[in-house]
Formats: sequence, C-alpha cells, structure tokens
Amino acid sequence: MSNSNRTKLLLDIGIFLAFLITMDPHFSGLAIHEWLSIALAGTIVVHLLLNWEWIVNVTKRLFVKATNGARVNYVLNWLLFIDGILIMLSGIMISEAVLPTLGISLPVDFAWRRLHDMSANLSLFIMGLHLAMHWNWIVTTFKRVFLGGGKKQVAVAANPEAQS
Amino acid sequence: MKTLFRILVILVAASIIGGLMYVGVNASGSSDTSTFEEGRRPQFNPDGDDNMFRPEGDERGEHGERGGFGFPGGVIKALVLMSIAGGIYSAVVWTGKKAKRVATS
Repeated sequence: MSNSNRTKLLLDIGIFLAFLITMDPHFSGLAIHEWLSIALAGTIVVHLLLNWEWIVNVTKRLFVKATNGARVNYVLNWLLFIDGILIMLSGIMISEAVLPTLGISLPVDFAWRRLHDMSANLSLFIMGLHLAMHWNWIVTTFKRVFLGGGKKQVAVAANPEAQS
Repeated sequence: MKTLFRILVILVAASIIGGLMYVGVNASGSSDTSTFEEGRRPQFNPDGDDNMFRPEGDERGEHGERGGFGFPGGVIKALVLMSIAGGIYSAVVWTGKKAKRVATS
C-alpha cells in the first residue's frame, strides 16, 4: 500500500463525511454548514491535486485511446466540479454566517437560493455515481488500510483507470 | 512551484465557470425579486433574529438551520439518494456486462 493511496483514502473519507454534514444545515446549524463548506472546497482542491496525473493523462487521450469507462468518469468528474462551483457560488450569494462575519452583506436573492437547493440535490446524484464508479478502489484500499488486505487487492487499488 | 501552478489552474477554471454562472444568472433575469409582493419582501438580516424570513419557511422544528444539532434527516436523505444513484449505475454496468457475455458466447 503506497502512502499516496492511504492519503487519498483518508482525505476522501474526510471529504465524504464533511459532504454529508454540509448536506444537512438543519443538523449542523448554519454557521457550521457554511464554514465547513468553505473548508470542503479547500480539501477538494487537494483531492484534485492528488489525482492530477490521472486528470492530465485522461485529458490527453480523451478522444484518442481512453476507455469508455475513463471517458464517462472524466465527464462525470467535470459535472461534479461544475456543480460544486455552482453550490459554492450560490452558497456565498445567500451566505448568512460567513459573509456577515467578514463584514460583507449581499441582498437576499431567491434565485440563488433555488439554485443552491437544486445544485445540492443534483450533487447527491452525481456523487452517488462518482462513488459507485470508484467503489472497487474504495473497498480494496479501505481493506488494505484498515484491515490489512492482500497484495492482489493492492494491484486492483493501484489501477490508474479507477482513480480520479 | 508545480503544485502552485496546478492550484492556479484549478482556481482559474473555477473562476471562469463561476463567473459564467454569475453572468448567466444575472442576465437571465431569474434573480428578479419582483415576484414577491410589493412591500412584503423581507430585508436581509445578518444578525439572524428569530423572525428572519427563509424562503423555504421556518417550519423546521425547534432546531432550525441556525440552531444546534437536530435530527440528521438531510444526512439520511443524502445517503439514500446517493445509494439510489449508485444502484442505478451498478444495474447499468451489470446489464452491460451481461449483454456482452451473451454476445460473446
């Protein structure tokens, strides 16, 4: 098990848990919802940096010799990225905790509120697909990190096609 | 240096997409607030007192968005929706593999 895979898994678990908490502002409270979302944006940048090689490789061979699975995965990742930006942007526009703390106030705009709700709901569906596409990698790496799985599992986990 | 460049690429991509969205939302006129009755539209209140208007209503129980930890219904909803999406993906993949197996045999 490479340190890279371990780092990726631990970061991804953290991102997933934070994503779940931010999906329910009534559970966490608005202030935690907003601050945690901003922290989540930062960790997603780290997630992209850790998977940068995959992104560059698939981008280069997207129209040439990438597998269909990699293409679907690539498009799905872009959709998730765009949706994430929409969630963050609309969230900032309707912020009631972070922006006032920073001394910034924006007028209430219900279009952004609707967009925030819609994009958040859409992100659940895309995230579900994202997790399903990487399920083998998640399970094998999880077993290896936490349960001490075998070498065969590591080989599967190291498959670059399954990582993003 | 390489990492900084990559971070810059991500931020530039995010800024371009976010900027386009911002322009799109404003240009579409969907941000027009005139759909609310004149004089009844509440004012933004960053201090967030209890009377603060929320577009989805305030009937969220004693633990509103502003309050402390309430029942994690949204978390459960998120897990269920993600599971459904994952299940759909798995079903599609399984059907594809089965069709491929039938075609080759």
